[in-house]
Order: sequence, then structure tokens, then C-alpha cells
Amino acid sequence: MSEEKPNEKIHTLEIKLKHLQNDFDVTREEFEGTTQKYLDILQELKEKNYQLMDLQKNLENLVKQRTSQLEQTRKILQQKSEELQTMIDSSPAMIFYKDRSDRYVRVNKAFAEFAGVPIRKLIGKTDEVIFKGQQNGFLRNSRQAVATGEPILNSMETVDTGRGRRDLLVNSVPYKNEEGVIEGIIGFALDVTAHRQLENEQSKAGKLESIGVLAGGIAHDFNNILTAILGNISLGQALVSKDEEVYRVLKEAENACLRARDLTNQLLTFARGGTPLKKTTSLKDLIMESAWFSLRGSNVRCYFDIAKDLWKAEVDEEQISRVINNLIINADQAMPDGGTIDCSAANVSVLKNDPLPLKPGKFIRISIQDHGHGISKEDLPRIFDPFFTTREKSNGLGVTTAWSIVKKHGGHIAVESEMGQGTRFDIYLPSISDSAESPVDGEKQEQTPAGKILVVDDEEIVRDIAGKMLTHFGHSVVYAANGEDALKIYQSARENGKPFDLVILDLTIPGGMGGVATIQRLKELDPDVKAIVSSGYSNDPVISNYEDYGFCGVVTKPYNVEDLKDKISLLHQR
Amino acid sequence: MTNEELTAVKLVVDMVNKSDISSIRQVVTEVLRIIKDEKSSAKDLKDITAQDPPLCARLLKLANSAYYGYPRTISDIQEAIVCIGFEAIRDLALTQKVCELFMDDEVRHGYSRRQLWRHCSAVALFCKMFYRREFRERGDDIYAAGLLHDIGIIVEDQVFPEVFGNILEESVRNKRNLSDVEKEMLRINHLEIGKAIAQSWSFPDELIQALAFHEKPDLADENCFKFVATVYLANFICQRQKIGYIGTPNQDLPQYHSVLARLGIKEKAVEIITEEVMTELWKLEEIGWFSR
Repeated sequence: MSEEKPNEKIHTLEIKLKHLQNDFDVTREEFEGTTQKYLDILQELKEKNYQLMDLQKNLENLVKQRTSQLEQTRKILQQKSEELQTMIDSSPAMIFYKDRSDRYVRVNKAFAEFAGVPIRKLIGKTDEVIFKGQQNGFLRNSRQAVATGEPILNSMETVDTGRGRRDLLVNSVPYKNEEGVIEGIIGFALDVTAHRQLENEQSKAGKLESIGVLAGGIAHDFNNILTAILGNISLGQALVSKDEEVYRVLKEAENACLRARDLTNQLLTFARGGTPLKKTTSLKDLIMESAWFSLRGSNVRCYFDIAKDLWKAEVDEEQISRVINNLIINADQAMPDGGTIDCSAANVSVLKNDPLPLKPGKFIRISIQDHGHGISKEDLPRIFDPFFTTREKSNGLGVTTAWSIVKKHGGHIAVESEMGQGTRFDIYLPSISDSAESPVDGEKQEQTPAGKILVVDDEEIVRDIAGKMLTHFGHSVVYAANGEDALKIYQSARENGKPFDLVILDLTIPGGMGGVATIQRLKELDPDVKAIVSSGYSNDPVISNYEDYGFCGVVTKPYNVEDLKDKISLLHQR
Repeated sequence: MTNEELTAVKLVVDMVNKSDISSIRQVVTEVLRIIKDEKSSAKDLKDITAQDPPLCARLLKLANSAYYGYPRTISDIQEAIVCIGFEAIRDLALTQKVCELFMDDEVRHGYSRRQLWRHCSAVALFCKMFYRREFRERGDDIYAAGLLHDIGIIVEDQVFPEVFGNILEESVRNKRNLSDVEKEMLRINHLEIGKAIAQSWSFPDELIQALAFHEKPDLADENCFKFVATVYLANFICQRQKIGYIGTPNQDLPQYHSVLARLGIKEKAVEIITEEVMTELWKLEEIGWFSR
């Protein structure tokens, strides 16, 4: 190359320059092309990015959709759950779900009301917490059902709640999950407290009724005999001076007879279906007098707590007085070493769901609480049985009679007792809060004007004693053995211008016309006839509602002189 | 062409299409399409290589070679296109695919596939260089034409190895032109085989003409002359410079000067380009371009 001429050198450089120029141009084109490709790649990446964004958007939409589906499902579940809750809430029975650890998962309204705890406070709790640790049946049953996998049906349980001791009929059924593993129990419980009480009352009533029929039959005859004895004793007393030894002896005999009469009266009280002689009464005085009277000579004091606005009640004063009397005597005898009795009376409104065998309404509750030895759990259910007693001297009729009387009044007696703590009787009597109190007692008259009296009785002994008593008071007495004879005698006396002032009619005359039929016939003869009905059955409806039958008064057998005298004098007042 | 010759060509083409040689058809066709299509993208190129994992691996190996001297490791074709350039990767893909034909080295009568490969690569390089430096064109298919101009020889080698051996022997011993011996022994020469295959594979027209007339460019159509003549020139220079397999060169100098004159290329420019190509070839040798 060194030999090259300058011309040639220039030529070479020219060619090289041209080559470089050309190559540069082509390379630039290529670069531009490559740049374009690069942009293409960028575009492609961009598109990929868009695709990714689209995918992400789709994904987000899917998630949104799924979320809304889930939300909807949740809402449906919620609704179903609420429906279920409404359903189980409307059940009168208690329903509860418990898990394996005895925690409540779901309960219904009835259960919450029973437990006395709001539903939300029950969830997640155990029986130990809710029922204060008592070993109740819910707990035992659910554990057993979970352990064995077998349902426990119709189990009777007793649970203490804020509303007292309740009897429950419980079914505990284990429930399993999909794998067959027991997850807990579903329980159904029915409060059968009221049913049980009703059953008890019914069996009590049935028992008393059959005994009553038996006792009543004996008492009737016994009462007639007593009438004769008592009448003769009274008469004997009237014939002798009070200073004489005979009088004292007769007085003893009379007292014994009176006790016997009380006994037969008590028997008769529940022996036959009868209605008390009711009148509107202020119970306050009745309670206080009866209690006071019962505690004469006792070392027991009685404290009263009687509501000032105590409602009025329509009661047979004598009977209710006997109820108070019997219960106070029992309370007194429960405390041989002395003590106190708390006697209270209050207005109570019995509601539909109260565990008392009473119709809803207004009641007066008389509570008699002693602090004596109490009654054992075994004896407590039997205390209303006739002739059941724990004391030697008692005839076992006091509480029975009280129960019978209160029942007849449409009331209820409840008893609670704790050994060593004392016993409380609650007497519920229906109130008539709107009726006014009517004064009853008139003044007694010492002197009775003489009159002409017709005594009608099938028993000669009763006729005799009545006649003797009435004669003793200065009345003239004519006798009849039955209704037919009485009518004839009454009629002829009227015709002869010497009518009777008064007729004493026996209610029941075996084989003859009785008191009710006779008074009707007498009324036909003489609309102004004055008649007193006499009977050994103070609880006979005729006795209770004597005015409806046309009688002016009632005298119960066996006759007592004072009683008879009172009735006759009252009659004359009218 | 006589009927006899046509039958021979048809037979050869059928055999080629049933042989391994046809495996390059798809890649070559696709690359040529990409070259033609202005809108073709890096993605198209990537798709082609993705269908040919061994090709893809070789491309990445070359892209990461010292020849390109890229400082970071290139791990996929897309990245290679960005780093090295779309055209470079495209030519590389073409080269590597065609290169598959020149496997198995066996030297006989001065011929070996590796030497033929060296020759073809050099012709392709020359072609490209002339287009860029002299014609100021990218010369889209010219590189492919350079690489494939002797495909007929490869076909003879692989389809009729015995006959081809005889052809070589006869050509070397009597210093006869290869095409003449082929004609005599096969009724057809490697130019006719190349043309038939290019037609069968639906190659572009200029490519077909380059394969058919690179020894006698004057026979080419007027509009393809520059293209065919460039391949002729590159082939002529490579034979003169004794690059790769040269067989018995037909150094028809008057034809050479006439072609140069017609293309408007000065002898001095040929010298300069030859110098550059030789340097390039040496670099390629360095990175094992011809040894695979």
C-alpha cells in the first residue's frame, strides 16, 4: 500500500468514506427499526399489564360477588336463625341446646323466664352458674346423655328458682354432628308444678271425700245422741242452784259434751258437701280475736301484721274463726317452751302463672308462722289427712278441717316447714274488695216474750229436750214427729184461733216429709209463717241459704240452751 | 430442461422433503416472512424460536458470547432483540438454523461440510456487506441467499452420498467444473436442485433466481440482477480468496469484470470489503461459529 500513489490513496479513502456513510445510514435504519421493535415490546408489555389489570378487576369482581353471596347467605342464615328462635320461643315448653361442656348454646324464652335470666346472659353459661351450683337434674342428665349417646326421656326433676321450687318433666336428647360425634344435647322441659299440685289437691280431696262420707254417717247419729245428753245436762243445770256440787259435776259433763260436739262438728264440716254461711266480714277482727282466744293461758305470744287496707272477704265467720283457731293451736303446741307466732294478713293478686291452685284474682293471704320444731319432710304431705297427728292429745282433724273449710270458701291453704325452723301456713281467701261491710250483730235480748212453738223432729229424744228447754224459757210447746203431722197441727191451731208463733223444723226426717217440703206447705197455709230449720249438718246447702227456702233462722243440733234462746229472741225482733 | 432432467429434479425434491433437510424449511420461511413484513415484531421472532428450543438455546449462547460483548446475561429472545438488535438476532436465527444442515464432518476430496459451511457463511457475509456498503441497503433476503446458495450441494451430499463422492472425485481428479460433472452423473447440477427446492418451498423469486443463476448472473431477470449478481460476486471472491470449500473454481475474469461494471462496484471497493469480511470471519472463528 505504501507504493500507492496519492491519487489512489484518495480513491481508497473516498470508497471507505462512502462505505462508512452507507453503513451508517443502514445501521441508523436498523436502529430505528429496533427502536420500533422495542416500542412494540413496550406496547406488548403494556397490553400484558392491561390484561393483568383486567384479570385483577375480574378477580376483584369475583371476590365482590362472592362476598355479596356470602353476605346474602349470612342474611338468610340470620333470618332462619331468627325464625327458629321465634319458633322455639313460642313453645310453652322450655327448650335448650347445650354443648359438650354443658354450656348453653341456645335457649328459648320459656327457659329464660324460668331461669329468671335474660337469654343473652344464659348463652355460654353452665347450670352451675345459673342455678347457683345446685346438683340439679339438667346437669346430671345432659352429662349422662352426652356420655352414653342415649336420650333420657320423661325424667322428673326438681329445681329451685327465683320463683320457688319447681317440678319439671325433662327430655334430654343428644345431638350429633355430620361425623356422628356427639356435640351436646337438646333439652325440652315442661314445668309441671301446677299439674302436680292439682294432682295432689285432687287426691287429697278424693281421700277426704271418702273419709268424709264415712265420718258423716257416724257423726249424724252421734250428734243426735249428743243433743239428748247435752239437753238433759243443760236442763239439769237449770234445775239446780249454781252452788250445788251437782251443778259443778253437770258443768264438767256439759264441757265434755261441748268438746264432743266440736269434734262432730269438725267431722261434719268436711263430711258432706256444703256451703259456708257466708257474709261480708272484716277479717282483721276475726283473725285477732280468734288468735287471741286460742292462746289463752299459753306462754306463746302472737304478733300481728295486718294490712290496713285489707280487702273484705265473704266468709263464714264461725268456720274461718275455727280455721285460725286450729292453726294457732297447732302453732302454739309446736312451741311447748313458749315463743312467738307471726300472724300476718295481706292483699295478694294471684296471676295466671302463679304456682298456686287458685283461679287468678284478688285474694287475702293470712299467714301463720311459728318458730317451733317444724314438720319433717316425710310428714309434710300427710298433714292434711284426717286423723293424722303427731301429738297424743290431738284428734288429727284440726288441719283437715281448716283445709276443708278454706276449700269450701274457694281458697287454698299452703304449708311450708323446715325442721327446727318452724312452720308456716298460708291461707288464701277470695276477696270481694268492692262490697261494703254490713253490720251484723244486733244486741242480745235477755228477756224473751213467751210464745207458742211447734217442734217437729223424728227423734223423740230431740223433741223432748227441745221441748224441755223451750218450756224452761216459758214457751208453750207442741210436738210433731213428721211434716204431715205438723201441717195438720198447724192448720187446726190456726182454725182454733191459737196459731203458732214459731215452728222449729228438722231438716231431714227419715220416712217422712222433711223440713224443706214442710215449709213450702206451711207457706201455702200461712204466708207469714215463721220457721227455724234445725239440723246436725251445718254445711247443708239449705242451712247455708236458709232464707232462700223460706226459713227465718237456723239452729244446729245438738241444741244448746243459749243458742236456742238467741235464735228465738232474734226471731221475735224481726 | 429435458423430461429426464425434470423427472430427476422432481425425484430429488421429493426425497429432500422427506429428509431432515426439510426441517429448516419452516424456520427459514418464517424468518424470510419477518424480513419482508414491515409490521413484523419481536414477538413473531420470539414465537419462531420458541417452537425450536435447541435453536433458542444456541441463539442465547451466541448472544451472550464475547462477539457481542454485552455486559449482562441475556436470558430470553426478547431481551436479546433489545440488547443486540432485531436484525442481528434475525440473521443469527437464520444462520443457526441453516447451520444444522452442515453437521457431521467428513473430509473427502477436499470437501467437508464444515468447509462448505465456512464458504456459505462467508458468501452470506460478503453479500450483506456489499448491500450495506455499496448499495446502501439492508438487502433483506441477501443474507439468506448467501447462506443457502449451495444448498444443492448439501442435498447431493446427504441424499446421494455415493454419487456425490464420485462427482467430487471426478471433479478433483480431472479439474473439471463441479456443475459439469453433476450434469453428467446426475443429469442435474446443484444449481438446478437448489432452484427446485426453493420453488418447492415457495421461497421469494429473487432467492430462487440467486440459487439458480449465481454462477451465471446474466441469465437472471433484469429486476433480480443486482441480487443474483451480488451472490455471484460474493461466491467469486470467496473462491478467489480460498475461503472454505471451493471445489474447482471457475474463475471467468471477463464475466467478473463485466458484473462489477454492471453493478458499479470498483475493484478497490472489493478489496476494502474483502479485508473487512476477513477480519469478521476471523472473529466468528474465535467464538466457534463454524465448529458449533
